[in-house]
Amino acid sequence: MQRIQQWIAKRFQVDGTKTLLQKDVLVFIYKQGFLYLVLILITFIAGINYANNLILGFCFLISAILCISFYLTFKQLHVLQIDLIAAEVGQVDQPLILKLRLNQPSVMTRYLRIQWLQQEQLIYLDQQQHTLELAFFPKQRGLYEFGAMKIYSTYPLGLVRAWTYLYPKQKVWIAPKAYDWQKEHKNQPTNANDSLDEFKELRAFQQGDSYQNVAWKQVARGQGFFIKMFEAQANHQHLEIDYQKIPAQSHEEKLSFMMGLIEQCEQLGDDYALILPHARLESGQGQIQLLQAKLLLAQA
Amino acid sequence: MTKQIYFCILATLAFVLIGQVAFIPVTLSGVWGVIWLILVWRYSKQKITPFPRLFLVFFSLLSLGLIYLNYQTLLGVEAGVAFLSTCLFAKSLEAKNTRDLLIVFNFALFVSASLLLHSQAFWMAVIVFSAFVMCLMGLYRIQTSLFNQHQLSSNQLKNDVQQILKLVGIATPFFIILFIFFPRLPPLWAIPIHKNQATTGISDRMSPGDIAQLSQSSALAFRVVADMRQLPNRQELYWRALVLDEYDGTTWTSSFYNQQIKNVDSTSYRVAYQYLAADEQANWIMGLEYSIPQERYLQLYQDDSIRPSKLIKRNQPIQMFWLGRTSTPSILLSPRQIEFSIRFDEDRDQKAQQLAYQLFEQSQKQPEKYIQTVLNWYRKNNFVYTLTPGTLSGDRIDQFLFSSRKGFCEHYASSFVMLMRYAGIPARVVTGYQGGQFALDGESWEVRQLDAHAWSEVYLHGQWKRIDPTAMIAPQRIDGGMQNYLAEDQQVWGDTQAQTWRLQQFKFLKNMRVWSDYLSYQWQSKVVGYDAEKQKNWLSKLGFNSSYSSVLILIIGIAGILAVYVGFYWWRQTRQQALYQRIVIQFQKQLPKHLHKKPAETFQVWMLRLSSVSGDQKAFQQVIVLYQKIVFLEQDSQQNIQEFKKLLKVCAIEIKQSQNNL
Repeated sequence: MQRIQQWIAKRFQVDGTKTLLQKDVLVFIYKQGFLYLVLILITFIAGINYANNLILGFCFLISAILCISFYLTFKQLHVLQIDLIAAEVGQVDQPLILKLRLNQPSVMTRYLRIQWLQQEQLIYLDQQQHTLELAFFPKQRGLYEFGAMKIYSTYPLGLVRAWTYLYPKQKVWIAPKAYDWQKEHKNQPTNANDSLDEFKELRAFQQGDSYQNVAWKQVARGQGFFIKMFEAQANHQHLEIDYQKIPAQSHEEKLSFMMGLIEQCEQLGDDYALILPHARLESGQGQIQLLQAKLLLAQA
Repeated sequence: MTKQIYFCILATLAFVLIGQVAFIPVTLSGVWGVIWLILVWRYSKQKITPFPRLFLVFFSLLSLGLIYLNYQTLLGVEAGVAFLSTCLFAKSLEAKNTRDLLIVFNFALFVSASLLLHSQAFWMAVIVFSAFVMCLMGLYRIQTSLFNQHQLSSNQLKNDVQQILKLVGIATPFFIILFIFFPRLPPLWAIPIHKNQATTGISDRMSPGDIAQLSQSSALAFRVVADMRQLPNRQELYWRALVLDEYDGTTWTSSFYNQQIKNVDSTSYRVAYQYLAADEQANWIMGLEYSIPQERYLQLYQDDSIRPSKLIKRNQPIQMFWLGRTSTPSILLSPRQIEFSIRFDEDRDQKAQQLAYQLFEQSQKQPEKYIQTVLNWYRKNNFVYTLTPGTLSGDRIDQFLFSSRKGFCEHYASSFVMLMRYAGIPARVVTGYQGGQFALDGESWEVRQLDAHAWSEVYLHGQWKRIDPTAMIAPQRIDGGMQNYLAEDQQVWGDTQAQTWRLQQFKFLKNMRVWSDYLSYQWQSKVVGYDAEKQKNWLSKLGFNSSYSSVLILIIGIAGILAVYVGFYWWRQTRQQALYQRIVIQFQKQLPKHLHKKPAETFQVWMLRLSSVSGDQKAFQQVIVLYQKIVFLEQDSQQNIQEFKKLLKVCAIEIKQSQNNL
């Protein structure tokens, strides 16, 4: 059983994008199709035994319908192009979004279902392209491997099911869960939000800066693309988050604390540097900084 | 469960009900009709929840009780189908989730197929097909309703029916191949039918004088497929049912002598023909005088009647031989049989008896002469052939011969036989059909109920000789056939003017009948009656003689159709692409894999990447410009396309060369 599963996982591995070809689509009779098979058998016997040509004809007709179902159901999946786009870094207990972009060269109506983890979602595809997001919930820090996804269709009559498995080759690093500092220091005032309009200076936008702080007024006036530097932020401490100095016992706990600190810095708009035993992230802030920080923590 | 799916259930139930109304007891169809109406009413009130269990039990018990009351069993064909339908109705009443619905529709498919056990007529096939479409639509809607709940448009029904018909249309070629070439297997076990169901247009008794007005049904009695040139003329086409030789003053019945099986040595000259009864369960096979049956389950009796030894529902033509003669060979009657054939009640019909003595004396007691004298006597005394003779009572023969003098074949045959018997000549009445007509296509011969006839047989020189007194009174009846006679001779219908419309009605109905019989005959012979024999003929016509070849054709045919479908699919796919796209795809096929166009690349970026691989860049630049012209400026003239194709070829060569150089 295990070996079969391994073989399937290897056979249906997807590296980013995949077009479902004939060899990728499995087709077999589905649950109620067996009931239908019994029906074919009974009508066949009745037709023969009562020498009733019309019942025999009926039997042939429903058999032909079954055959055609195989073809039509197969066509529901055939030449469907699937692009898998995963987030770069995930985080423990946060939904990890896997984007699925379905592409079909010529527009036809497809009635698909997708199964992942224990969830199922219906996909009604009547355009050339359709994007859907599947949420995964990683429970452990480290490298996360997406489980099997199954795309199947029982259209048109539910007699036959065509399906394929998707085993994304791509793996995602999962950052530790952030230790919730807010909970600990609930009453601590966050003065960053107090006087949002009173910023100290403007500086040019750098990639990775939060859009929250863009000086939209100045942008609208055509003066340039600036970032507001707030009073509170301006004289922020430059925080050095050092693994060695984190007051926690276990490795995981330390990482979680660090993650919490990083998130808080991001929230307050503080610069931070990350020092790990074997890696170091220079001081900075914004999306790119956060991403790199997460990645380091995930790999630590 | 949605309303759309529920609609399919209602429609399926309606078709199942319609298909059975003619075959099940009125009470049962009444109960089911009421249930169906309740369902429709609830549907219109948006209530599609399952019924309470108590109601369900009550309904099932009531239906099963009615079935048992009517059939005395729950098994057998008729009761079985009714039983299945009850189950279907009950299941529909309690259906609540998707699983139930799946069972309902699959089961409904089975029930509708079983309707074909009742009848294989064309109309039944239409009903079953409609039920079949509705079941498929139900299954289809179960699959799709989850996806497009937002599209509750009014023409959803039309769309769904279209989808299903499309599906069936695609399946039809497979169905036809299977139907024609799938080997027909013999039954696994024999199916008996109930005795009390047999009906026929011919009765085993005859009471001339009881019927005041003979209704003329133009329903088909039977059909004969033969080379009619080898059979006698219409005047001589007497289709024999049975002999009636016992008369009690009012009614003729058949004596026990006729119930004995007769063996006939086959003669050298004989004509094969096929007999197809309209009523599959008729008691008698009306063979052409004189015929022997070829089927083992048919028996020939002493009076040359042919009857099935056991009742089998048959929809296949019966093979018969006409022995090529119109009279029996000499047979020696025992004194008891002779005594039986001249028996009459001396206290009845004394005037007729006197007439007989008188005429017999006139004919010098020579039987042949006497027969002629009697026939002449009929002719001279203004006898009239009519379908509305009025009733007779008391001494019926006397009354007919001396006062009413109006009647149809039964009256003439009956009185003639009695006149023979009074003179001591053995005689008997024979019933059956006379004449008939070609079917529309001229391929077969149709005999209708109105061709029913009675004539007489006289024992002369050791053999039974047919004498038809009706031919004396109304020769056109025999010469032109009853069907033409009725249409032409108004007098037959009665004396009053008011009967004219009856004639018109008859003509119209007859034409309708002829057409519908013709169509149902085609249906019967081409579809319902398509058996192993016909299949063999078909195959041998195509030049295949073994049964393996039919399987071979079956497989080849299915593969062929598949190929056609796949071909059509590809053709349609490629047709959707513009010409330049196809050229690009062709071009890409010539390249190694790593040079294929990547999803993120535009044509321009791709070409630039390719040009960096090869030496010469000019051709690539030109291709890009031309591509932009064709696609974005829509200058897709033939010339540009050709140029585009040529340039791409140059590019391909460039790339190949640079690859080789590496």
